[in-house]
Amino acid sequence: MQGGYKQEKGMTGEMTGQAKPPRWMRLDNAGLIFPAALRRNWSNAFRIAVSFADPVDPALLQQALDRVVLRFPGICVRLRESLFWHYLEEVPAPCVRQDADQPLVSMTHRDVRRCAIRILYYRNRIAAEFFHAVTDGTGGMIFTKNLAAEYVRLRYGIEVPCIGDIRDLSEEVPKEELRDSFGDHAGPVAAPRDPRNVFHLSGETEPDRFLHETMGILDAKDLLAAAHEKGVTVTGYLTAILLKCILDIQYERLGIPDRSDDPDAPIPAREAKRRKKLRPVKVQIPVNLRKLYGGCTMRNFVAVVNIGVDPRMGDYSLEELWKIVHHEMELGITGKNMRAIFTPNVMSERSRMLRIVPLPLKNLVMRMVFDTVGETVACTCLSNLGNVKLPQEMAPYVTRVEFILGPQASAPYNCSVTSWQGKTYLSIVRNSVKPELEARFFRTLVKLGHHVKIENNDRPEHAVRNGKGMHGAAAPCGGTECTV
Amino acid sequence: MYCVKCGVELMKGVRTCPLCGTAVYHPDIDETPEAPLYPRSDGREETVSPSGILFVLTFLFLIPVIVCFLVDLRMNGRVDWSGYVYCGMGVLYALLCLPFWFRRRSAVVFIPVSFAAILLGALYICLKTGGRWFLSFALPVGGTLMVIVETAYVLCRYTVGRYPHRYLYIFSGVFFALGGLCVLIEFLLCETFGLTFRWWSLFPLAALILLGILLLVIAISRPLRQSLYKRLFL
Repeated sequence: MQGGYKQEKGMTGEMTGQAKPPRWMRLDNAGLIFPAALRRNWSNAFRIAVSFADPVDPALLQQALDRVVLRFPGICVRLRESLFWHYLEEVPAPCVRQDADQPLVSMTHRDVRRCAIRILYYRNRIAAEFFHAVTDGTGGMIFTKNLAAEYVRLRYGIEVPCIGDIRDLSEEVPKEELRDSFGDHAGPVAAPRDPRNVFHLSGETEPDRFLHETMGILDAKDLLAAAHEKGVTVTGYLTAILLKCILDIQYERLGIPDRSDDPDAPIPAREAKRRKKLRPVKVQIPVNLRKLYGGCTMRNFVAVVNIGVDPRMGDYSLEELWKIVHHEMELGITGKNMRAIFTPNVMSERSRMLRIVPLPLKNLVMRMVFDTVGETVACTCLSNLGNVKLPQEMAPYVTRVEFILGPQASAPYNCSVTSWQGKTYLSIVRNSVKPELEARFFRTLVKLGHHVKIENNDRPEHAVRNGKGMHGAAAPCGGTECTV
Repeated sequence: MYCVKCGVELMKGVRTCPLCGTAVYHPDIDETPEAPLYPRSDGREETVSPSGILFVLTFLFLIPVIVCFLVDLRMNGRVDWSGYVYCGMGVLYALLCLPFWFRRRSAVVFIPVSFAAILLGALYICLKTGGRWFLSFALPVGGTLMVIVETAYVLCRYTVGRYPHRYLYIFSGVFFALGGLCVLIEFLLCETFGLTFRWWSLFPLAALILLGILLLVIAISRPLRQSLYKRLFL
C-alpha cells in the first residue's frame, strides 16, 4: 500500500468527471494526524508565495497549474475517508482564486474534501496554500517553484531549464516521489515524548480569528554573518532570539525581573516564590529529513526537535541561549536521534490493534494525542526553508519568495523564514489581538544591529472594532474560467 | 519611514507601527502608500444586541404569568390553576430562551437542563394532582429519552465533522434505542397504571429496528449511498 498509487476498487471515473478512475494513496505517517486534528476554525496549513515583477495573469496561471498538477499527482489531491483510514484522492487542478485579506484562511473539512491545496493570486503574487497532510514545506516549495517556472514560461516565453527543483513536466512521475519515507527509515528505538509542562503563549484571540501576518524583511548576508559570529546557523540564531523574547514575556506576566546580567545578585523571598511558577520555554524546529536520509519524496518527510531552556535554573542571556541552541541542535539533529523521534509514530501506525479501530474512534484518539503531545510540548515553532534557489533564467522575473506557517492550534503564533536574492523574509503570524511576540522579536533584531523592514496585513479600524469575519473576502474564482 | 520606538522600517503610508501602535504619520512627508499585502475587505456588518432581544422575550414570557397570577388570585384567592401556566411557561422559557443568556452555549449542557425543566414541570403536575406516576413512569422515561438525545447530540457534534454519512450510523443507533424505549414505556405504563401488557410496543420496535438496519446498510454501503445521493440530492 505504501508508496505508489493504486486504483481504488469500485470507484468509477464518472465521479470526478475523468475518463480514468482517480488514483489514490494512503496518508504518510506525519500526515495521519492532521485530518484528525482539523477543526472548524483551525487547520494545519502553510503557504508559499512567489512574487513577480508584473501583475499576475490569472488565465496563464490557471494554464500553468493545469500542466503542473499532472507532474505532481500527489499534491493536487483531496482528503477522503475509508472505514479505518483517511486517504488522498487525485483531483483535477482547482480554480485559481484571488487572495483574501489574510493568508491561510482556515481550510474546513469541506474544503479539504474538495481539494487540499489552494492557488491564489493578488497583484503580482501567486501563492500556494497546502493542507499539511498533503506535503511538507520542502514538497510545497518544489511544487510552487515548478508552478512559478511554468507560469514564467507561459508569461514571458522564456525557456526555464529543468535543473535543481525544476522538474521536466513531461517525464513520468518517479515512484520515489510518492513514497512514505517514514516507514523506510523507522528504527527499533523510540525516543520518549517531551514533557508538556512548557510555558504557553496566550493572548486574547481575535473574535473572527483574523490572522495577522507580520513580515520582517532583513538583509540575508547580515543575518548570516551575525549568526556565524555567534557560532550558530541562521535558524539557531533566530531561535535563540525567539526563546529570549518568550522568556521575557513569561517574566513580564509573572512580574519577575530578568537577572541574566547579574545572576549572583540575591533574590528577594517574594520573587523566589514567583520564580517557582516559571515554566520551561521551548521552540519547535522542523527538520527536513531528506537532508539526513536522502530521497526525493514529495510527501511529508519532516520531524521536529524541541529546543529550549528551563528558566527555573536561572536567567539566560542571549549569548548563553545561542550556545545552548547551537549545542542542542547539534546533538538533536542527527540521523539516529531524528529516527528515534519519528519511530513511535510509525510504530503506532503499524500496530494491528490500532489499525482495526474504526476511523471515527481513531479520529477521537488521534485528536487527543495531537492535543497532548503534538504542539503543546513547545511554545511556538520556527520553520526555516532556507535560501531559495531558482534557475538563473527565471530569477530576474521573481522579486520575492515567502513562506508562511499557519498558527498552531494551541498557541496564537507561528514563525517561518525563507530567503531569496539576499533578503530574508521572516514571517510571524498571530490570531491574537496584541502583537506581543513579534514586537519584542523584531525590536531585539533591531537592537542587535539588523535593519528590519516591517510589512503587515492591517485592516480598516472599523473592521477591527466590529470584529466581524472577513474570511469570505476572497473573490470567487478568478478572472479565468475554471477548466475543471 | 521608521518607527521611533521599535526602530523598524515601515511600509510607506502607514500611520501607526504595527508592532507597538506608535503613530508614525508625518504630515510633511508625502508618501505614496505601498500596495497592501492582501486585498482589503470592509467587514462592516450590522449588529443586533442579543441581550436586548432576550430582555424583550423575557418580558413577553412574564406577561401571561403575571396576568394569570392576578386573575387566579382574584378568582380563588390563592395560586391554583395558574401554577400550571407558570410551569408551562417556565419549561418553554428554559427550552427557548435560557441558552441564549450564555455567551458560550453548549447543547451538551442545555439538553439535560431542558429535560430537567420538563421533568420538574411533570413533577409539579404530579404533586398538584396527587398522582404517583412521576417516579415510576415520567422519570425513567424522561431520563432514558434524555440519555438517547444527549448521546446522539454528542456523537453528531464531535464525530461527524464534515462527513455527513456518519449521521446514518448515529441515527440508526437512535432508532434502535427508541425501539427499546417503546418497550420500556409499555412496561412502565403497565406497572404504574396497572394495565395489561398487550405487546403493542413490538410494532413500533419492529418498525424502528427496520429503519435502523436500513440506515446502517446505507451507511456501510458506499455505492448504495452514492447511488441514493445521486437520486436524492437537491
